[in-house]
This record gives sequence, structure tokens and C-alpha cells, in this order.
Amino acid sequence: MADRSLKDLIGSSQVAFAATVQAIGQSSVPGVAVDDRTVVVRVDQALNAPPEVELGAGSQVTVQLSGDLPKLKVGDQATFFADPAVYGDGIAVSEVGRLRDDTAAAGARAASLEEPSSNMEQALAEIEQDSFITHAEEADLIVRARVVRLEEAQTPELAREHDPLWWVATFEVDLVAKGDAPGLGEGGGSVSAVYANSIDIQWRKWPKPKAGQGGLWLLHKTGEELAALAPFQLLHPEDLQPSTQLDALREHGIGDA
Amino acid sequence: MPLTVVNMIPKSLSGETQQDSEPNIAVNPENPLQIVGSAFTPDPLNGNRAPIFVSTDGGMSWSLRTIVPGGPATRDISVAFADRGGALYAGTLSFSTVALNVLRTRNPFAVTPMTLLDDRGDEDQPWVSAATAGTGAGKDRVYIGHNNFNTSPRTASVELSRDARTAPAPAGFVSRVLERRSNVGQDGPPIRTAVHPDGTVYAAFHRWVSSLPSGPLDFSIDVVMTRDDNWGGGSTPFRALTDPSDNRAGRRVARNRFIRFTGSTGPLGQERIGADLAVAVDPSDSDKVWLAWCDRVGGATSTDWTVHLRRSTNRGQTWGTERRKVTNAKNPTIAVNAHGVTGFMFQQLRGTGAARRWVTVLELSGDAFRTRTRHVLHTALASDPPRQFLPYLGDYIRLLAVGDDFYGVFSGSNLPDAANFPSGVTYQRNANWNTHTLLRADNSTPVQVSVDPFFVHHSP
Repeated sequence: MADRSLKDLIGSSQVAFAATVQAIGQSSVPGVAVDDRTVVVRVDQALNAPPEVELGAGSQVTVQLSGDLPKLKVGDQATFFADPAVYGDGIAVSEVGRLRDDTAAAGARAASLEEPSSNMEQALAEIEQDSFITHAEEADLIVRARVVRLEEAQTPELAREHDPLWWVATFEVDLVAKGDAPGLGEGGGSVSAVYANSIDIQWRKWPKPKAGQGGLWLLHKTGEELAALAPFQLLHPEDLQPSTQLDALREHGIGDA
Repeated sequence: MPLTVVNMIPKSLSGETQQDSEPNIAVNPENPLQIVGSAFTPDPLNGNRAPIFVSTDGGMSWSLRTIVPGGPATRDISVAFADRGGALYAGTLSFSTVALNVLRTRNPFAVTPMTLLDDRGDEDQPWVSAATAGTGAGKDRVYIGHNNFNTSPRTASVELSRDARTAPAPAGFVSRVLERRSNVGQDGPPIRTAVHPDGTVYAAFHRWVSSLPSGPLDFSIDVVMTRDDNWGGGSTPFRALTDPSDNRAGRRVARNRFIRFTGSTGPLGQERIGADLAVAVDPSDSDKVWLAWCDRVGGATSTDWTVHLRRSTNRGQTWGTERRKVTNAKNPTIAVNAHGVTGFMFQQLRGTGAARRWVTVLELSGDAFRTRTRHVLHTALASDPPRQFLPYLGDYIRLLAVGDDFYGVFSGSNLPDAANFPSGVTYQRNANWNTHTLLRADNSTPVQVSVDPFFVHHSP
């Protein structure tokens, strides 16, 4: 396997931790099939993991080593990048990448600092920002605006469990960062966007504007089905961003911002 | 111990706070120690596959395997084992595409992703049941009730395969429409199936007859039972049972019932209503079939949501009087064990105002509910935890019987208070039962209360 950057490793895995191999051919999670690439490691430091998943220092994780990477022996230390496999009394993961030096561990996130302070933190921040930029490039209209009106747009003829319950938000715009639309000029204007107001599980993460809410809104042109309701729609959790993201748009030459 | 209740969240996820609602369960009849569960539980690490719950010790302990393709979680999901061979089948609405996915794995206890057998958009609420026909290894017969909007207005359908275990995709799966009458433009979401080893397959659904002037969410429905006597074979299955009033396939067990279909609001506690249905067949006598559903007895001006339980002893041709009627309840589920004992589980909203509680009950009866044994499995304040999304507890729960044993699953508040579990409970996740506090894996940091799935096992 060719050398991979820290950012690539983080971006292609769901969890990262620095750990020391304790046992080969064993599992700390009952029921996990074991071979000579199954190792039990002791976590020295969690580097990228959500709070729901406990990877505190000293905890054990079973790692199915990648067949593309060298085997390890007891006592070896590495930074593991992995995807989930089993959650039981402990956790088992499938390795997707590995760093043997301290590139990541040495730069582990320092929670007390507000600014990115490590290679890992920097890589995570870059991945997040890349995602935003990609999303911004896909948006048809980006405006700094606040919500001035919310109204139900359409009652379905026949109710379904997973109805989106379309509503329309009207935005008062003071800056157009990308794109154009009727009713918008240099000094701003107003624009409307349809959004799913349902709290059904299917729509729970769609953005749901609140009265008076302000920020940077990434809007997408509506398709034929929704065009009669509004020219734009909100359809992604990243469609509302803090206005400070305007700087990132400028840095990447997106729109007129 | 005859009755066991187990919180299914494993110890390593002691910090999780998701709304793990709408659970389902499958028990391997060849080895009832092997059990699989599902719920709206996302992969905590947000990977590209959703987890299922697995147990290899009869439900006493559980872990999660991330083997369901389609994203880090699922929308609707249900699961079933056939009688032999150990293959697990799942019907899901994909997290990524919302399409109906029919899935299979030869071994749900491994970490190999399930195989996609069928994939079709504009669908709702797949509900899987299965059996094995023939001798020796036999052939897996799989029946997935689904609301197929591609066939509107007659949407109540069953996706079935008569030989699903090993064939490559689509493994013989085809969709068959159950609805034979006109309707308001679609049928209701729940289509439930029950399979008997003699080849009898029952499938029930809500026929939405008409809209009502009392409101856009008000409908008049029929509760319809269909039957096939040869494993759903041929191009026009499920026509063995006709209604004497119009000679069409599908016996209308209840007619012109009022429902308020609150798909995205929650008038029953924090839960939505409008689509509750269950069916079960006696494994020792396919003539005996049970049906449960919910409707609003009081009509448009009422607030009730009432479970009805009825039985037929002549293959669905006629139906006796109501065996149970439970007000302000939902999620009925039925199973019949090898000795003809009927299990009936449901979730009832009891009390008033801020004191209202969700109460999950298992009732057992060997005499068609002339007498019954009642077990309260769980009781918790209806207002806590706050809803994260709908459905709050789920649009269904499930009860199964293997031999004489009943196996079930429900979702509810995970507040660690012994008073909430009158029949006892076992937690895998960390909790302080004296302070009624959930704890993270460090066994000291408090965790907020959420909705968890709970496994139920009753052994005579």
C-alpha cells in the first residue's frame, strides 16, 4: 500500500487511535472470528472518535489488521485508522490504514485549545472545510440572510408516514455570495426556499429554518416537482453555515464573495 | 426464570443517547440461542453500514454487527429467519436512497455485509416473515409485506420468494399486489404476513376506503385478511380467501373503521398513530389465525386509539367476537406457541396529564383470552425522554414464538429505575440503579435518558 497522508487516512476511516499491540490471534470481543491478523490493542490515545464510543486510554480494542499492511507483533505501537465492525462489551474494528511513526499521536488534539493545534486536528479541520467547499460549489445560490417568513406550502392529498411536509421559508438577503435569482440585487432583496418540515425519521436532519434565524444559506434550485412552491430548496444539514464561512468561500474563489 | 427482559444496548455503547425506536426481532428456529434484532440504531461511528443487534446466548447478552448496507443507519427495517439453514432476511428502507432493500446473509453473526437482493424506490414499511418448505435443507420461503406506491392506487403488496436462500439477486423475489378493490388512492402502511409450515400464508392490510370530511388526516378503512394455500405460488396468489359480500379476494374483517393518520404529529403521548396491524397463525393448526389492529372507536371527535384482537378458526372465513380491546394503545403484536398459547404484546398510554406513562404489556392465554396472564414489562413517563423524531417508540414492535417460548422486542425509556420494570430487567450498559442514572463506559460520567430496545423472553 502506498504511503497515505494523514488527511487521507482520516477521511477514509471512521475512527483513529494510537495504541499498543497486546496480543496476536485473539479477540477481546466474544464472537469475533480470529486469525493471525486479529490483534488486541491497548488504546494509548483516542485521536478521532465520537463521544458515544468509549476509547479512553487503557481501553482494549480488537483490530482486524488490513491484509495490505504488515503484520504486527506484541508491543508494537501504531496509530490505527479503522471502520467499525462489532460493538459488544468491547469494540472490534477493521483496519483501513496505519501510521507507525508518531505523526498523528504527537499532534493529537488538545481539547483545551480553541485553534487547531496538531496534525490530527488540522487534518480534521481541513476535511470539514473541504466538505463545506464541495457543498458550496454544488449550491446554486449562497446568501447571507435571515428568515422573515415561514409558511406551510402544501398539504399532501393523501398522507404518508414519511411525508416531507413542505414549508417555504422567505429570506431577507443582505449579501449574495454566489448565484443570482429574481428579486435579488447588489443591495440584497428576498428569496424563498422550500424545506421539509417533517420530524419523521426520514427528514429529521434536513434543515428547518426558524423565525429570525440568520446565517449563510446554501440554496439549491428546485426540480420540476417543487418549482411551483419556491425557486430554491434546503436539502442538506450543511445548508446553514455561520456567516464567518464567507471567508472560506473567498479563499476558494467561490462566487462573488 | 420464566420471564426475562434485557436492555439490548451493549456495554461499549454506554454513552449512546440515540432514539433506538421501532424494533424488530428474529429467532433462529434451529438454534433459538441465535437471535437478531433491529431498531433505528445508527452506527455510532457513522460508517457506511448500519448495525443489527445479535445474541448467541438466547438474548441474555447483545452486541452490534455493522452489516446492513445503505448508510450508517436504516429507515424502516424488519428481520426474519426461515425454519432451517440459518439465513437471515431483512427488509429495509435504505438510509441513503429510501428505497426498499431486500437483504440476505448466510451468517448474521459474522461481520460480512448483507447481500442486496432487490432495490426499488417509492416504497414503505417492509415487514419480513419466512419459513422453510420441503424436507432436508428445503427451500426458504420469504414474504415481505410492503406498501408499494409504484402500483398505486392498489399499494398493499407482498414481495415474495419461494427459494430465497442461495440464488443470486433477485433470488426469485417478485412483488404481488394484495389489494383487489378500489380505494382512496393508496392503502395503509402496514402489511403483515404470517406463514405456516403447511404452505398457508396469511397477509393482512389496511384498505383505505375513503377520505373523511372531518379532516385531511381522517380516513375510513377496512381491515382486510388475505390467504394463500400454496406458499404464494403462481402469478395471482393470495386469493384463497374471499369476502361473501362481494366475492372479491380479501376478507374484510372490520369495515369502515375511523383512523386519524398522524404521520408527522404525535397525539398519543409523543407518538404518532394511524397504522397498527398484526397477524399470527397457530403453528399447530393453520385454520386458526389471529388479527389485531387499531382504530379510533369514538370517531372524529374522540381521542382514543384502540387495539382490537380477534380470531378465526376456519382459515379466516369468519371471525369471532373481540378477544381483547385495549384503549389508548398501539403496536399490537401476536404470536402462538406450539401448545396453542397465544401471546399478545402492546404498548398502552395510561394516566392523564404529566403523569401519563407508556406501559408495555405481555398477555398470555391458552383459552383465546377468556382468561389471561398479564405481565407488565415496562412502564415509564410518556414525556421523558423528549422525542428526537417520529416514530417515538416505533410504528411496530414484535413478538415471536419458537416451540413453547415467546421472544419479543419493544422500545422504551431506558431510565434505570427498578420500578419501571415490574418483571425485572438486565442492563448491559452501565447504570446506577440507586440514583437512576445512566453512566458512560467510564462508569462515572452521567448519560442522558433515551429510548432503547428491550428484549423479552418468556419460557413456560
